[in-house]
Amino acid sequence: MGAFDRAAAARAKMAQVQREMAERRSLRDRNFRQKREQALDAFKKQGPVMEQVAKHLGELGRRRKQAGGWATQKTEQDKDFVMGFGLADEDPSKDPYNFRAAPRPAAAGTAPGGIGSLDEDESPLARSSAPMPPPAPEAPPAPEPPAPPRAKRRPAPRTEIDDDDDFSNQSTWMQNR
Amino acid sequence: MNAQVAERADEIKALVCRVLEVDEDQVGPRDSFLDDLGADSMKLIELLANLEIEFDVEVDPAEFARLVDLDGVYAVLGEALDRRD
Repeated sequence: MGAFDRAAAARAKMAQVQREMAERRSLRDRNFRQKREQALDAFKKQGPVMEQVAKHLGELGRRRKQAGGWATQKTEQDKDFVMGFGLADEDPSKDPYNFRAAPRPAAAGTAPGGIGSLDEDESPLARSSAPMPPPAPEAPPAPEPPAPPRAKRRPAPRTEIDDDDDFSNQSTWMQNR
Repeated sequence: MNAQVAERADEIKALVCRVLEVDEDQVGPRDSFLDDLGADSMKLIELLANLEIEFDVEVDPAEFARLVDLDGVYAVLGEALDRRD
């Protein structure tokens, strides 16, 4: 092998290495561009996410502050809860004015009319809560009988009592007679 | 489970795994994000924000307490989608 052949082989080898390096560079550049685009996309997506995160954190902070620093589930749950008193706090399904005691268990062997034999439906409470029957129609008013003649009032006869033991009628001495 | 959630269950799981930075085969429906997958409250907030943006819903921050496993995520998201629709 002559010097020209060795030089040609070295040039070919160099050209091959250059091609390989160029291919590697282009591959690296392509990967870089791809990754950069991915990162940009992720960053663009992350922006609104972080905005949302900040919003949630602010909201949570506001609720904790409203609750006096207590970070409990209850305080974070009730967003705009205003403490109040009265019927609104209670269970609206329960009518506080229509309380009825729980039914008694049926007493076995209770004598009729004895203690415990009064059924709930027979109790005065149940009867009073039952709907009232409609009132009977009013009878036509009877003609008024003629008024009797008015009797003349006579003054009661005065009796003079002066009993030493009974002081209830001791008024005569005050009458300046 | 909400129909939309059931339809996109795999997508939701992928989103959860991306946010929590875990592999999908690591996450079971009842695995706790906090105890089993090493998430913290910040991750949960980030997960919630991602879900809100991805599904265009609004979820109350108080729902963090339920966002502790995949089933909880499905439930919260399903309720939010029902409210939206």
